[in-house]
Amino acid sequence: MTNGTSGPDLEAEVKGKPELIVVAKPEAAVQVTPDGVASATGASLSDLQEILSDEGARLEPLFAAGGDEANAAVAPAPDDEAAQFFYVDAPEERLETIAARLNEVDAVEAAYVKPAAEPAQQVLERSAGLNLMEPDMAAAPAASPDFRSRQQYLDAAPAGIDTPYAWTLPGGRGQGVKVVDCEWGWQVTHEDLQANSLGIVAGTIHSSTNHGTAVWGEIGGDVNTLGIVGISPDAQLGASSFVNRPTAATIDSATNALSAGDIILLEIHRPGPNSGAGGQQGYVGIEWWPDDFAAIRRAVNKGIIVVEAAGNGWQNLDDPSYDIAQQGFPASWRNPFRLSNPQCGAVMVGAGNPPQGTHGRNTSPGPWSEPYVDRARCGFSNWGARVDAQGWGWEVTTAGYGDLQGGADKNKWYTDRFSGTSSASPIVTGALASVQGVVKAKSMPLLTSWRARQLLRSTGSPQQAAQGRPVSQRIGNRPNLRQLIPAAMKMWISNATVRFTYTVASSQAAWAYIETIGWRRIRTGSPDGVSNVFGICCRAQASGKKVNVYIDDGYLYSVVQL
Amino acid sequence: MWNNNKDVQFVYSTHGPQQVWAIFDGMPGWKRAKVGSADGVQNVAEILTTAKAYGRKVNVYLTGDDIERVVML
Repeated sequence: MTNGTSGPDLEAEVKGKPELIVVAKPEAAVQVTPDGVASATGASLSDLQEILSDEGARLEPLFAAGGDEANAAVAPAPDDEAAQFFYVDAPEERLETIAARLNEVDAVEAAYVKPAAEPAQQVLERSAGLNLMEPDMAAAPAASPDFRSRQQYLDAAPAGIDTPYAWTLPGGRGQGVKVVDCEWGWQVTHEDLQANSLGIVAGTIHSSTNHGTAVWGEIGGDVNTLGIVGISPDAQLGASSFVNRPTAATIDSATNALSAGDIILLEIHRPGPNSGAGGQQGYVGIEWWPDDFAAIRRAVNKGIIVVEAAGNGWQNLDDPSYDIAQQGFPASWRNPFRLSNPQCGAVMVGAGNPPQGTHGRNTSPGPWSEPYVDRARCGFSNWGARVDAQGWGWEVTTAGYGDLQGGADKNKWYTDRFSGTSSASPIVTGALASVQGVVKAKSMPLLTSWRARQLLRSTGSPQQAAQGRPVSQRIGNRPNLRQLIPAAMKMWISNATVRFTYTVASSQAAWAYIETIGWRRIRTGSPDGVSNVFGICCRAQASGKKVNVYIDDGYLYSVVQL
Repeated sequence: MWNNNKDVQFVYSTHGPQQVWAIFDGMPGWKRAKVGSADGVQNVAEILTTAKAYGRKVNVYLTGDDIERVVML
């Protein structure tokens, strides 16, 4: 850090490494032993072992503890698809050659090299302006001011997501919810990120900490009289680091640290098949790669909500070019950006403009210089049918970077200009943590990643059009917690048991106790309607028949006797 | 007061409005579903007839001989 008399100390570029991923054939039952590779079914692996020895390479399971005893994972069962995934630890310059050789091996279904991934903040050509903030080197005051008024993304819809509404509800600040951010670095000693910290659940921290600090700030900034405040400040916030680790393994570490109902945020994108023109053009969300897809799906299958940045590659994810498998992909691979193909279940987030006049500005930083049209697609944001929802992609006030408040102490840095699908994704993450907190407080069934996608698509402030950025270039709605939370409370419960029924001899006064849910009053409004529903409930209870019921946190609306 | 874990021995209704009675095991005499709401009385009839038909016990809250509330167990 500088002493305020010299230039700013810009952080080092954050970039991952290329990864060679191997998918073994299930019948080969490949296992890694201290002596090399072995087959649990007795299949010959001599050619595989020969290549590894020849290249001085090591095969490592992708979904395993990885030596991190604090998160000692249960290794996938042999018949679990995840047991087929490995990564090759070898010199970077040999990865493509090794992949080509491995694809000739009988026991190998697929071997492919993934390009290095990055946080959505790169600085080249048309990508310039995204998170290029330089810290203000003027000394920060002893007590940081309260910057909450600059966080308009917290305000009432449509400009914001209406956190004040969520905070009126028990659980609305994210109580009982854990969120793990997957990226590279975090300023864990930041003055406004001290409460409710899970810490680093896996991996080591990169020296560049601004990006993760900004993400954490949006979700969980502390409630106090200084700095910023997070959308869900009572959620426990942690981190899983991509530093020197395969991305899928990092995601898996987060999965192992969390339980059903918790949230993983993937602050990462990677050059896709249309990259190469410079900057971040062509960068896409990482689910496109089979191992990352599998890692996300493992989390979703555990009941964890996964939020994934769509990427800043200004790509149409509906384009047929994404249907073409990368060299080395398994033959079974299908483009997950196409909704008719198998889905991993992650909530994909695009970036939308803030309202005109935010922070006194009507256009984004150069060279984009796009006029702000509230909820229009940011020019850099990927779009398509796969994108579920949007968050602010410019002008996000949060912790880190130091352009709003800088000085010598990074623990007191704040920014007014966090951007990208990087800044958009934490907004959706924080909103979902708020919803889950309310769900937990009401002892309702937990929100799943699949249901989160559905609710985000059916509620919220709609996308708007701008010049050259029509609504047909879908990034989805901006969350509106005032709509999202009530919608999350309404659901069908299938194959339920009516445990008790209760009535009072007055009009429309009838209740049913649904096992694992509790008492629900039959929704009033029609006397004979209440009686009809009540009658089904009584008979179902008495006869032991199961029912499907449509409920929210107070009422029972409909019943189907099975 | 509440009278818990009772069998419904008989349920009676006639064609006039809000005319529902029941006898509960161990309790003397007919008890009437408290009048005042047509659908309210209907709901009491529903729960009592179902309990009797399926042999389910009930908790019943009486005010005098008026049935005010019923829980089917």
